[in-house]
Amino acid sequence: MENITYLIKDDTSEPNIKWAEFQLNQQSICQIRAVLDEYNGVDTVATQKKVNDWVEASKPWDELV
Amino acid sequence: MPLPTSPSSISLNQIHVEAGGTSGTEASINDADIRALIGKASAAQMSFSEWYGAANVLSSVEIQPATRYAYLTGVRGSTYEHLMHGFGQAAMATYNSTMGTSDGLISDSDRNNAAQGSIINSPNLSKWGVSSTMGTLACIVHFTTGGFAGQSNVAMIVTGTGSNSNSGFTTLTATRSGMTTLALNRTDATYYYGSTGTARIWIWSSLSAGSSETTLTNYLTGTGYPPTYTNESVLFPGGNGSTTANTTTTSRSTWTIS
Repeated sequence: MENITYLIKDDTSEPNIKWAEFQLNQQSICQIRAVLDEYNGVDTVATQKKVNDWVEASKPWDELV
Repeated sequence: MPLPTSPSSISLNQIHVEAGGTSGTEASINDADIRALIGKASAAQMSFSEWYGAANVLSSVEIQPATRYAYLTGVRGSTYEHLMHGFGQAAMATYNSTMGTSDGLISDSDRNNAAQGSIINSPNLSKWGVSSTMGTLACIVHFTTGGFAGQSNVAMIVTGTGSNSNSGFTTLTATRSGMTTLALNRTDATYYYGSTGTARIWIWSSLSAGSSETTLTNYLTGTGYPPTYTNESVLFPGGNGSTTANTTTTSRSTWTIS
């Protein structure tokens, strides 16, 4: 599975929350919580895995990603 | 924009404009649109200070739910019971592609039937918001997902929003007499934005279990597995084990954004 491209966005009101935003399909954008490290920075490896796993899990069980 | 919270003075014209009127035109404090800002009955006693901070928004609705079940076949011949209860199930079908496969497996024909639930007292749903209007409230439903009949989810869909912004409220709260209050944080939800129809969608799931989502399983009782099929929503109770859409339950719940 190829990595899903995502952007990091700050939450609009909670400074300690960041979102991983990615294109789910042609019609839609999805945001899930980014994984932060102990310094409140984005753990890019863990976030990439979370995004990939999320997209994989959102597909029908018999569809390859 | 809400009216000032503690001004030295507040004018009838300011209130009229907030209610949607044109500045400088005739208005009365007893006009229905002006009273609606603070929920006053006609000819009730009113003070101008009661309009401090008032906004022309709708932040709370009482839902008369529609309830719907489906029995579905999964892999290797397994079967599951799914439920989708609440208000505006057709919106879940409309934005199916926006949400990928997150919206459960009840068929679109079931979700698009006449049983959609309703909002008590017919407020203006296009004013859904806290301090400003987010868009039109199209859907609040409780549903199970995929083959995991014990997975409990809540969706809120707001349409006509115009822009992609995961904002506008902090908490979605459900209350009902005899029920433990459910408070869902916006920041625990998965957020979707659909460019077609400019919908903003928040879905809370017991599977992802953010801090406010951990109790979601408490609002789904019974089992969705054979041979019992006794899934039931505590948020929108409506009898279990029937695949017939039902709008006759009197178990209404109130949903508030803050």
